[in-house]
Amino acid sequence: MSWLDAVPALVAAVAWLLVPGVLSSYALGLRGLAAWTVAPVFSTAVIAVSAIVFGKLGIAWSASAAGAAALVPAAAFLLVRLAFGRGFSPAVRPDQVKVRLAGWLGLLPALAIGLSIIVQGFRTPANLSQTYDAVFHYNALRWVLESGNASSLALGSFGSSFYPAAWHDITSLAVLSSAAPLPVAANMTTAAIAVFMWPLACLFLSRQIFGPSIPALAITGTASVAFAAFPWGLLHFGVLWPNALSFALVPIGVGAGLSILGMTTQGLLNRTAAWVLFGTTLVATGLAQPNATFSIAALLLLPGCHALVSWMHGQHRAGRTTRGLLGGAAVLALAVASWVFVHSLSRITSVKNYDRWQPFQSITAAVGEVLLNATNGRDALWLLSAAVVAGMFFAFRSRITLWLPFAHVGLAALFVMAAAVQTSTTHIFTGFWYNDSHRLAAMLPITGVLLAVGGVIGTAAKLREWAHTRELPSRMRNTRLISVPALTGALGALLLVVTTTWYQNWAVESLRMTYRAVGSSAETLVESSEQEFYSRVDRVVPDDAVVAGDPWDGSAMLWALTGTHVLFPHLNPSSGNEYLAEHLNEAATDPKVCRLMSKLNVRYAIEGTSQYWLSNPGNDSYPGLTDLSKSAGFELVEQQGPLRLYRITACDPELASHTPEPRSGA
Amino acid sequence: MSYSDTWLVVPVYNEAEVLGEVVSEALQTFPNIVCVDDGSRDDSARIALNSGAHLVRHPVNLGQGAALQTGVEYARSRPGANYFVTFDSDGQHQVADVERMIDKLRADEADIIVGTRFHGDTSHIPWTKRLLLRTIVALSPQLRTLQLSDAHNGLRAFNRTVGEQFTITHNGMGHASEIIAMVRRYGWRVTESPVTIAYTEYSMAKGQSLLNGVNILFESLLRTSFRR
Repeated sequence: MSWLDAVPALVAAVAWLLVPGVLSSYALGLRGLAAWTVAPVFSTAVIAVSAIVFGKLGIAWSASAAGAAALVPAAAFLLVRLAFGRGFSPAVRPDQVKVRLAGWLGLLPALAIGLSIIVQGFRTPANLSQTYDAVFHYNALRWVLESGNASSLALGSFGSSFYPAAWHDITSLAVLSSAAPLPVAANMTTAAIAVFMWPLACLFLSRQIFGPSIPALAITGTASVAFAAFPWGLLHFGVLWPNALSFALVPIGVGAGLSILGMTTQGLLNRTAAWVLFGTTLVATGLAQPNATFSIAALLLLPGCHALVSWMHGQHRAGRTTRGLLGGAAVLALAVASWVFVHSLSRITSVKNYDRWQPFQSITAAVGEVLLNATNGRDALWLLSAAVVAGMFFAFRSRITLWLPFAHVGLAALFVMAAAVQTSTTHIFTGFWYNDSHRLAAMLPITGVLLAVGGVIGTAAKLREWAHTRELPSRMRNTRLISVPALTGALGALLLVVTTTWYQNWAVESLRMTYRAVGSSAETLVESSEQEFYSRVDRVVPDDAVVAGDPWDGSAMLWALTGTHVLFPHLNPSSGNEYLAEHLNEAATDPKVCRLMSKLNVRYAIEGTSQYWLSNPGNDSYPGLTDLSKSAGFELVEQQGPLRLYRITACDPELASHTPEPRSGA
Repeated sequence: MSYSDTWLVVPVYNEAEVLGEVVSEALQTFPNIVCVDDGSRDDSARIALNSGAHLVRHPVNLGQGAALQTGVEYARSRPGANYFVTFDSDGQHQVADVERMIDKLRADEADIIVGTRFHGDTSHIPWTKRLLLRTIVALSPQLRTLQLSDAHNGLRAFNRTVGEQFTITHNGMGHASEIIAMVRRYGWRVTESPVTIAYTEYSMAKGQSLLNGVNILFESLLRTSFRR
């Protein structure tokens, strides 16, 4: 498949991420930058919520259903505005054209850099993410498309429990509206999140904090794609697609929260719009990956404390000290109660106790990695890191930015805890993010982008000041070349050059490691030859039959890639199919195997070579899928190299008497 | 008379030399002053705070228009704020003029009152400035329609209605024209009040250069042309 063929899927993904949201934001009264930059929050929320509602009502998930659902909040906002008039309408006017243009044009380098990384990193638009979690996500997508149920209340273990499904919902819509193959739609949705949605969200937060500053808006786009830990890090590790979607929403939630707290520079939202957007963001992140909800809470902690103390101080100055103290105490009590409540939830407890990823480095090394934006062993980003450090220095100028360095240090501390310490005490703080250094590192760019932007502009202002104190000819001193916008442009261009030539390599290489079609079997779950074999399997196996196979040899992807049902859609067996994982090759002698096969309609089995991630203990969970050629009741029907498809005749004497000739592939 | 319901909005950019005196003097009459430091490189912010004014600081330099907008947003969020005044930080404006303007607002004579230098004797105004300001008025149909003689006077006072709708999108010096445009758009009742501008050596050095004035003139012309 060529990249040109993938364009419809990319357009579809971008459209689903933006258009439903733009309808809502315009109906709410937002215009210009505000309307477009916050649109992904409304889109994600309306799509994920409508999927739940349709699931409950038994309405099949489709593009037209989701499109119709997108009109509902837009119509509701319009009605409320009509009913309440100016009382509900955000009175904030859009920025001047040149300010908006600076923001939009500043996104172009981000778009170019991002798409370049995607094209080079994926190699082809149909390449699979060869990662542990991708197996679940691909098959979950297939389940959504086949069942017509995209509800978050049903996606867990495909139909039985809660799993935040916003990413799967949006990606399934990309499939349904572009007819793209499932891996292509997944890749293009990922691209849309990384290259369109995340820079837009950063632009919103940057505008909220720096105000209508042309230099700030112009360089935010470039800064947003320059960090390795996000978005690229989460497309490499995991793969954490839902988390990538959720984290990309965080800047919007934080920006809305800052408007509520009155901590913006001429914010784009009035309080009403801010509350609506903030609430919607909590819904969207909750249904994309709830840990981003905690990210928003963590990032708003300091601005919230600042706003509370300012309010109490204001009350004291106005002679209402008791009211101030009572209000402060009420907020504190609410915060403590929320903390206790969250910790009492069993789902949160199980996430917080997750200890799969052990500390892997010293505290000193982890601190160094944060300072150089080289988390989890990545290459150091020297120039960008210098801009971030400079930004921390300049952030002390204004109460609007004062919280940024502290929040950045706080996020850094969480990363250091997960990467270098990990005790039961640190788990209290890092547990919301599975105590995972990759997820925690991915939050650093949220504050990092803003600090880098502030650092570049602050440095430009210092350079200008320095130039003005030099004994330069007045003509040179007064030239527009030595102005803050021009110097910011020069520094931004330098950042752009370094980003495109140096930093980009890491992002490309990391994606290439994940999205590979060929390579050593230890790193590749499904090779291109296996994909070819699975296409042949799909032609042989009847539609209603289920194929058993060791998922670690890549056969778990058979369902996602071709639609042929598999017994093991996850890399780990579940309680329902565990016995067959251990005993399937004993079908001829174990009646329980035949009973389970009949119940689950298992009629075929695949045997391949499992070399993927051999150190993972899950690899040893499928002894019943080995040595099928030597087991009685397994009839070879397809073969391609070491890959074999067997029809299981052990439980059906009639089938056993008929032995067709096996077909061989290249 | 108490002016606790009035907020002076003072945009500040490198005014350390005179700011303390300007704020201290204004505070004797007006207890609520917010200084918006627009990224000053000098000690302006500290001086504003030590003088007893409220201080809001822009994270980066945005321009005088943006500073005014930030200041008005801050002031209107304060409980009991009913009247707002835009007041320069370089010592040009007189507190007595502001008192007269607020009294007129209280009498509900207008929603917004713009200070004018062109009532009575104008000989103290430098002739280049006089010529430029007269030309801007002559070329602006909006100013002529509203019968305003000095649109680029930084001293303005307005009531809560205006304060709620006040939205400047021009970061720089073009905000004065934008305020006039808002007067027409929202149908605010506007009038002028004679004011005295102190053209000290400091304010002349710090004030708008002739080039800036020409820029404003050019921008006004552009706006007029585009409207047609």
